[in-house]
Amino acid sequence: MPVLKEIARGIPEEKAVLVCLFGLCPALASTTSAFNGLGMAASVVFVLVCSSLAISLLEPVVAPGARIPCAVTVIATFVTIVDLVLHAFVFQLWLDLGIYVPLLAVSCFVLCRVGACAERRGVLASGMDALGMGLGFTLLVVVAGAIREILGSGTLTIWQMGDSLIRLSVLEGRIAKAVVMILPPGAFLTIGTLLALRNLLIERLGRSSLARLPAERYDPPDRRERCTEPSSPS
Amino acid sequence: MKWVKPVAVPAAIAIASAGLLCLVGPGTDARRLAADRDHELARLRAVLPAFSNEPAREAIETDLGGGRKAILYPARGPGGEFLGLAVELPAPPGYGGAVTLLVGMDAGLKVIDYTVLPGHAETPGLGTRVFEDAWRAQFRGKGLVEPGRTWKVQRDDPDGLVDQVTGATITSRSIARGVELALMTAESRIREIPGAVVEEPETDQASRPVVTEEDFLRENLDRVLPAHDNRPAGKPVPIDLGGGKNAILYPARLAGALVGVAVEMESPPGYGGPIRLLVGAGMDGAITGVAIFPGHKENPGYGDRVEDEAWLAGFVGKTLGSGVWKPRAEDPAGVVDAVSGATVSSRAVVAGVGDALAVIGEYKVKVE
Repeated sequence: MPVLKEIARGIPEEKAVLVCLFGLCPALASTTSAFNGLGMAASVVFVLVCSSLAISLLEPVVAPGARIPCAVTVIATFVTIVDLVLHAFVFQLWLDLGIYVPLLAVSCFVLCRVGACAERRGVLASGMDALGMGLGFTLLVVVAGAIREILGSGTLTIWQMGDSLIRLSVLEGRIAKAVVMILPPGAFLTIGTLLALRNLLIERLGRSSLARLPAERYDPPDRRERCTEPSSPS
Repeated sequence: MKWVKPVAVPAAIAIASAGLLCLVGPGTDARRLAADRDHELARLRAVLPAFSNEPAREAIETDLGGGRKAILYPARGPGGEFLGLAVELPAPPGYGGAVTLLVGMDAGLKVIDYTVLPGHAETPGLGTRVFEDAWRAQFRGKGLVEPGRTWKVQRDDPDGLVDQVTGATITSRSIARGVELALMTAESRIREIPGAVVEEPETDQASRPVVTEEDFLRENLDRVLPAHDNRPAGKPVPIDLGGGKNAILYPARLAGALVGVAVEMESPPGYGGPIRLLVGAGMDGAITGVAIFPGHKENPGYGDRVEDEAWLAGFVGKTLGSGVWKPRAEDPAGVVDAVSGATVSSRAVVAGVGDALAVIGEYKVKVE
């Protein structure tokens, strides 16, 4: 199933953050707890999928020189919607994520995914690619958020909305809290470690097993051609 | 028409985007407002007795000077009775900069609890221990004046009320001073809250000798004026300063010639309302003496230190142009230092003396 393959491609390698080091800002800022990570990931998935679909639909009518302004407008629209909805329905999460949700509007992560895929391939493929990339991002930030929260606060927050709170006590009281983990350096340590683990895993599994995964197509042949065109927007 | 597509398409996208947001924005407006309100109420509930009004609607804003503001939220029961109030104000900076406090008090202005509002940058695990229940507990039930104790951390003063968090002395100081400031703000503004019954402060005012105004004038009027041979109190000149403010001028004459004028008028509000001042000046505009009328509501042991004669003597010789009419702690060009422990009262007296000089300068011709 090519559709599933499109989705699957985004997950095992986690291209965006761990390879390209895009989306570091939301990934670093939102992973102070597992639930905050999940909230940021859900926002990213929504913005990424909606923007990709909208931009790939608009692709035939947008002039090459106007691609980036149009893409930014579309992305900003969906980001604003997410921000309004979070404010209305998940107030605490909205407070915790703060400026990082509005900042998605200018995130390289979203813009590059849209530029690399949505403007060049079909609607379905773009949507699936965005979903895959979003899920890969989700996996990363939830894992990073859980690691940071468990080591830094000793707890694991699964749900926090209004008065309802599901928070597991994992290491609380058993070991000293490693406060550094919920501070910005902790984010770098965690994501750096995950990056190293990912590289190790790929090394161990060998390229051969990865070869069975669908090939990365960041640079389809037609893109190179476009890039050499003097009128190319990039 | 090569330009149509590059212009029309982005324009259409922008319009569609605006349209979409016009649906989502107003559609979530009510929910967002309700979420903000719930959040505000939840914040207040944490530090106030159970209330049934909406404190934010009755909130009073007050200027703390230096561009800082405090907000007072009165809490009321089902019958509208006053239960207490919460004061939101910027505490002195902690280790990581600005710290905003929300301090809840009962109707007798004793601390119930406080919270540190989001946006601070205190060190997690050290400075943030001041948010913990065990540490906050020491503030509960404390009022502005605790006999024999000061609103300091114990490291700075053995009589301090506040046991600092080890390793977070700066944050502890910020909170201690912030809570004290909140109590001071509440006490100075409580008269503006309808229905807030003010308990008479337990003071030793009863044991003070009662000084009538006549006694005060007789004792002080001659003292604040340059040498004269008339009886200044015999010929007072009332003046309407406008805005409901009044002043009384007392002329001093020597051999029939005017040598100085004393003015009796109110200062801007101190800690317990305006302070009535008696300021004398010579014809050159230089102060010859300052006295403070009895009956002011400055706090005994703190604010009433502005009555200190040595401090008031520091005004003698100053003119309107001697500097900025503020305590030096607030403005390096200030005319005098503040009395320690009486910042608010000092500010009121200094500003009041400056005002009095201006009145003398303007109206002394009237006396002649």
